[in-house]
Amino acid sequence: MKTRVKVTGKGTQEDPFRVDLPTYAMIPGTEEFSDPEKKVLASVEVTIPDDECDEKGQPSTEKMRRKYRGQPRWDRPDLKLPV
Amino acid sequence: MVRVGTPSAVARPDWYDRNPAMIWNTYNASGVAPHSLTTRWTYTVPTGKKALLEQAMTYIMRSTAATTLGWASLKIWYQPSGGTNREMVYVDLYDNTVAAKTISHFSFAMVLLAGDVLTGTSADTSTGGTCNYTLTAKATEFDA
Repeated sequence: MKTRVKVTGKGTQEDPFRVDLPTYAMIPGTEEFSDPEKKVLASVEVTIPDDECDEKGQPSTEKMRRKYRGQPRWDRPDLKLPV
Repeated sequence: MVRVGTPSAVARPDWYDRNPAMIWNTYNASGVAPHSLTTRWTYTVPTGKKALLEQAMTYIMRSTAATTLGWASLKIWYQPSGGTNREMVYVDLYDNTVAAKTISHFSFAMVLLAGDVLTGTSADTSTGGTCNYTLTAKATEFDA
């Protein structure tokens, strides 16, 4: 599935620009910048596995918690997705 | 006669016969301007699965000259479940000639466990100019 998501990070070695999803691929040319001059990434379109999406094609916390159950990074009741 | 062990007729299938799924992580972009370190793709091994990382390919080509040349680079990082992110593949290009390029192919036989993470990043510290990039990694995911 293809969807637009928020980008986090500072673009540094310790804190690269990234999307807080377990599995994704950025789609080139879809980047939007909060500061175009400094190239600060704000959002981007990504592809994510179909089995992590709901019927509307949006990332689903329920499906991700199930697919990555027991993994502390993703199997959390307060999991927030960057949509 | 006494038989010891599991009869071969009910032996567990080999890894490539346990619900295998192809995992193909790709970033393929042209005319990309200088940018800070950006995670282009990520793959996390699902619970109950393993994955065998088999190959990777990196390609950087300068498509337009930079005003001030910097390093254009691609990396693949490996983070074991609960561990620290480490660089596993690193290639760079420091050449302001249009069409200058670097291509690398890597073969692996590396088993990834549930919760392990592979990421692919790009960066270009130049001012002005653009590069073309390809960063791929292929794995086979299967039942653990």
